[in-house]
Amino acid sequence: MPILIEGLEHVYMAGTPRQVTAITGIDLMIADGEFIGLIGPTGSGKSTLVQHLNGLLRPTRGRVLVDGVDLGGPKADLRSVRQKVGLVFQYPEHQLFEETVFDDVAFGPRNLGLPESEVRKRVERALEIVGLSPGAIGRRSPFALSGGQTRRVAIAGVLAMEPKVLVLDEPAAGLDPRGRNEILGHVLDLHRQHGLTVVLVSHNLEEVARLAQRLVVMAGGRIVLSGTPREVFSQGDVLGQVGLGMPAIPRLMAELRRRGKDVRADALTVEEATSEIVRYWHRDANRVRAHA
Amino acid sequence: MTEPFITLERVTYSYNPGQEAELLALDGVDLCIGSGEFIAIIGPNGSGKSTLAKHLNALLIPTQGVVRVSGMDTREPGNLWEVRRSVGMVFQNPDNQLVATVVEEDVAFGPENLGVPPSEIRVRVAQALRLVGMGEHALRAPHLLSGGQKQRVAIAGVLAMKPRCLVLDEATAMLDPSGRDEVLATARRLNREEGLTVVHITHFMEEAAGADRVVVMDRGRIFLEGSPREVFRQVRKLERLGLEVPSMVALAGRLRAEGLPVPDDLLFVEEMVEFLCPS
Repeated sequence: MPILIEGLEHVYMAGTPRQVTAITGIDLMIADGEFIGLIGPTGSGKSTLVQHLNGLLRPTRGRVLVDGVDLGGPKADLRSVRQKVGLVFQYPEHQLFEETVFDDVAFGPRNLGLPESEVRKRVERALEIVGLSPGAIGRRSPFALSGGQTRRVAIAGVLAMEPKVLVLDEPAAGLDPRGRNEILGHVLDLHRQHGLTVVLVSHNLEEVARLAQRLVVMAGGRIVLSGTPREVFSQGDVLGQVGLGMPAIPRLMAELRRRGKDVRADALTVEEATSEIVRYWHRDANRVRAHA
Repeated sequence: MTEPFITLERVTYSYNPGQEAELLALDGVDLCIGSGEFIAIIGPNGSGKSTLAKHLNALLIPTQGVVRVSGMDTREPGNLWEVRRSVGMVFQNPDNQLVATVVEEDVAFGPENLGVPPSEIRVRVAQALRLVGMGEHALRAPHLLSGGQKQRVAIAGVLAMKPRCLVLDEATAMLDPSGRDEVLATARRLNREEGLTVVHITHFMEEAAGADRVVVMDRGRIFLEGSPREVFRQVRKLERLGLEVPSMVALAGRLRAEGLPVPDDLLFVEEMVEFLCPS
């Protein structure tokens, strides 16, 4: 279910003195099964863009095609689009409201009018995917869970709709490193094992770079960079200009190159940096020995 | 250390004491915060960091033990106002701390409540906004500011009370990298130039690396404590808690394992560059 965005523009409060163009000139193709990291500073238009992916916002200009259907067109069935494109907002635990975890996750499927046996199956599957035991957690109140658990319940609620595309806006914000890794690990599983297309919105460059196949960088309502994490991090000056800054490892590699060390500029992880530095260290040591 | 400003002696705190859902959030914490210190408190979710922070200005009172702020026992109701005036807090969510519709009114809220005369309030508000670099935004609406700007206005609101200590309770958690830098740089400057004591609670290890002292909490107790170099050297212990060390510390560990003589207290990119390409 590919998503095609063409010349998208969105203006809030159009025609009033407080009119704001949030995004403009957005062209983007999201292929089936892709994992995209959408990054950019606050106010760059990330959230506005993702709300177009399931028709929550309508384009002021341009169009969004999901599986070939124009979401702004007369044939668009937004109900079915929203079932296929699941959106998890920031701090989704604030949207939990039912008395039990089970009922909360079941809310969407019940709204679809599915028989209760099917609802149960979906809820159990969704809870298992996010690593929560339906038996132990299902009967509890969502308000009696830890931060990481409530976050997972909220994601399960979207998964129970069995979407093809999962859009997550900062799913790990405010969690500690272990909680972050858990949530993002589940997202990665959904992509790898269940073949979901994932659009992950985040401020955390280091984290998205580890997960996504492609990074799309937004600033001032436009897409300013798009490419693999390595391609994007080789553009350190652009990232700096838009206020994102570089993670420590790419920053170190860029500085070593600037000082004439022959290391790859596109190393992203501690492991890659280690092998690059060890390689040139031993080579330099050999050269010193040869001269002596 | 300089003279102590806040002391915690064997502080224990239970949520719902005596009930089935009793939860021991702090378990015998001893801590001394020196005047003018910049302390970072880290630890996994549920380790008691925020509960500890709320004891520093008497939002919570110990179940057992004593907290003293500038010598004042926080259990004494008579000390409450003076404790809260001298220790100001900024919380996580930039969207639910600002109350007024204009930035300068928001900053004036605290001193108004203290009954400061209007002419003095005007001076304090202008000064506080200048200190956080928001002077030119005094007449703007808070909801039109960025997250980092909102948090700086929240800090100005605290400064207008003329406090001696600023507690940032995960105040950078919801911000983007430039917003986090703005807030942290502001806190650092206030610490250095104005002598303000800062207690910064954070999940970002890179932020803690710049503090004078790091306190690591686990299950309601202080698990580790020391300078950032001393604390982040203990990679295994931190990883056992599910915390990550700053990436330069992790890289230094790997390089040492490969036989490179990297110092074991290295924290920052600049230091790694200096080691690899000595100038």
